[in-house]
Amino acid sequence: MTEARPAKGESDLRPAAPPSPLGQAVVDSSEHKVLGLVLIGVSLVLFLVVRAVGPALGAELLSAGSQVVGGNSRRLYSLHETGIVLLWAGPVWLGLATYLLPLQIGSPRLAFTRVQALAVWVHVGGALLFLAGHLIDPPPGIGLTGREPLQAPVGGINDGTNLILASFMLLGLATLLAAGNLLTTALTMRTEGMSLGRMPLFSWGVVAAAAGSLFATPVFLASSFLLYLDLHFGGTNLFADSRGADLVWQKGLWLYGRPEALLLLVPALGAACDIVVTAARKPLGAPPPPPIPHGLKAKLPPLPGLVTPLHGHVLAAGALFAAATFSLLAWVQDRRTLDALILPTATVATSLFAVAAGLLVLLWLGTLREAKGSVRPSLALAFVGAAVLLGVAAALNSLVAALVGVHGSELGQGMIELVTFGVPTILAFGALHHWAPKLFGVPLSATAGGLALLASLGGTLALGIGRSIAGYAGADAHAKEAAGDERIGFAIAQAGHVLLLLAGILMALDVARAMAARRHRRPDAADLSEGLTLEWAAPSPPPAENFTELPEVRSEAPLAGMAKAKVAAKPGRQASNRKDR
Amino acid sequence: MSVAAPMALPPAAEVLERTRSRNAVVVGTALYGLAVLALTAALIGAYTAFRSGTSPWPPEGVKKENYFGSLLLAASGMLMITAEWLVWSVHHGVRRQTAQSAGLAVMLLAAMLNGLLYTVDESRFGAATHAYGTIFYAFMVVAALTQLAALAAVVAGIIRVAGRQISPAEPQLVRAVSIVLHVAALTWVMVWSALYAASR
Repeated sequence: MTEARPAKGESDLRPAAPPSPLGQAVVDSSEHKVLGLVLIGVSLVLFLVVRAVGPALGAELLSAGSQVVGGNSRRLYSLHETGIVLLWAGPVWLGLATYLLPLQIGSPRLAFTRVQALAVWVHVGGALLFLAGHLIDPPPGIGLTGREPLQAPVGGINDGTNLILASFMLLGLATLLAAGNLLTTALTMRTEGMSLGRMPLFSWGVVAAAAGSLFATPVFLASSFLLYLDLHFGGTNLFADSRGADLVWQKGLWLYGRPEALLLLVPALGAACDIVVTAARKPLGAPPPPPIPHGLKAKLPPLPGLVTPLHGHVLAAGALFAAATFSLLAWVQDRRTLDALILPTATVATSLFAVAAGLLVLLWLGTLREAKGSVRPSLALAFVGAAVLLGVAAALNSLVAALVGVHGSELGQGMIELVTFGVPTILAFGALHHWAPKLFGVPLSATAGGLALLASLGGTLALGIGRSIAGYAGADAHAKEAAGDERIGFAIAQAGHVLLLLAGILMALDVARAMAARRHRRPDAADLSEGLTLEWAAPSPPPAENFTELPEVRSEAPLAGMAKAKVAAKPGRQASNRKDR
Repeated sequence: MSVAAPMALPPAAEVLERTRSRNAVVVGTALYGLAVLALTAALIGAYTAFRSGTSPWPPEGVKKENYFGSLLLAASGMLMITAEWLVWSVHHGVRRQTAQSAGLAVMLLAAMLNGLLYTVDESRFGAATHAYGTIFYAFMVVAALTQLAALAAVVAGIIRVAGRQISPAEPQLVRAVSIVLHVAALTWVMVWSALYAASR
């Protein structure tokens, strides 16, 4: 088949259509790609805002008596800890999912385009209310740094508290709307041949996290609404020391604040799977079953049809779904089980989550080992390696804490920095690099990316381990002052704050440059050798309808056959259209 | 300039046209409906937690008036039956029965909203008087919102039927409307179970 197509490099020479004013184009659009980019851009800006608070808080801890942030430490702490999850780790993955899910499943759009636009703009409004609430009034005990039972607001409710509770409801509503839309899209908008089992693993991670959010977020919304009703009309019923108040906080507002809030990690793990698949140029493969000893073989009955060697792709999808389920279980379990931790920072359910994540890491290592001759190293793969390193550091930290016999304190906060904040952040940076040609039409800078990798890995390690060291030295969680040996840990953590802010600045600048380039760029034809999943069949950046041509989907790696065929079509070889299955 | 394409792929437009699923509206409505029921269940969880930790429960001065609650429960049952009647009539192309069932659904929803307003009016306590009051008002707000959403869905459905955009060949929209009606009814069934049926 032949078709009119510009030669390589010619596309940049053609005059581009004059773009509409940027603000109008963004606000008017219900296209999933624009909405995804809005969420990614906004969350990167908010990452900088929230991370900029960290060094100020660290300076306060190390200032030995002098006041750096004055009486604002509590609200800044709330802004920092809560904001990392609500304004960055959640929305950046939501943005990536909004952009990439239709591309990965071969759909021209999301199921409900206007609902997604509503979700995105409600999220932006909620984020602004959250910031405003922390800026205008010191919130009395609101924010996820609060521990139950909360003290009643001194002097009654203030505007800051009202705004923060309203922002919780808006952010929860936005998450719910987007989760339902993504799940509906994955269930009903897949292209022909794209069965659930063949969906790329990032899409599987999105589906698992969206399904979990559909049950978890309503509880967060209900608790926020109850608190709003109570406080707004002048009551303090949910701040009393009754058992009910304890449970409302534990199951509701603590959803995003507990170490077990691991749901955010699920799409991140899915993205890491896709990065490994692209680097290895083969689907994730499970190791073959161990051979049965010769003598035993004769005695065993023949294997039934169901017991065949599990396919790596299905195994990984199952692990992602199991991880989402375990994160929900960890959240549902009673706080009293925290007194019976099997490790100082891990409950049974969090340990099971770690088993699922560990299974994925083994699959990645096995796949890369089998494909060692043809692995294409990339910066995104290095980000995945950094995330694995953080997980190993967290596991070792937990073991050390078990041996030393330390529970709670700043140690728990250090673990949160390593796992709950650190891993999704580093994998989000890796995902932005991996899918940059599809997101922006141009790759991100390798130099800036390398520096961001070093800064984010070093910063997260310094922050997590520094706070853990302070915990080993006896610092309470959310300590306001450091004394003695605790100062060493907090000094290391302060370096981590600065490095993470630096990493965020590098990524934000690089993404801003790429987004500016995207506006004036005409789509390049798809390079089918870039990856194995369907999004790589779309031009870079994808047009409004996402695809100009779409291959048949006959396996979990629909472009694998295409890439082989393209290589085979070189002079001297016979072209082959055969798919890999 | 014309150059050879690297691979012979089917034009995307053909494949994408087949991708568009009309079931999306049904699946999406069902998922959002599940989320609303999960929210109601969360409120019931909070209610149960407070009930087990507070004595006396309900607090002094709260008079549980089951009469209107039970009337609303009966209306919920009728609404669910009406929703299925609506779907049946569209499936069989009986436009007169479609109009009748949709009209009945509108009347039932208006009656339920009126009943909710009366229940709130008779409560004699505020949202911040005690924990029971807070959760009671949260229940009422959620029930009212689901009923308002159902009312809007039925009215939109009537307009679509009148404009012949819903037909026996494409009944997905009316199935989505029926799901919204079921969710509104089930929400009140859950609220009634917590507030009145499970009292101690």
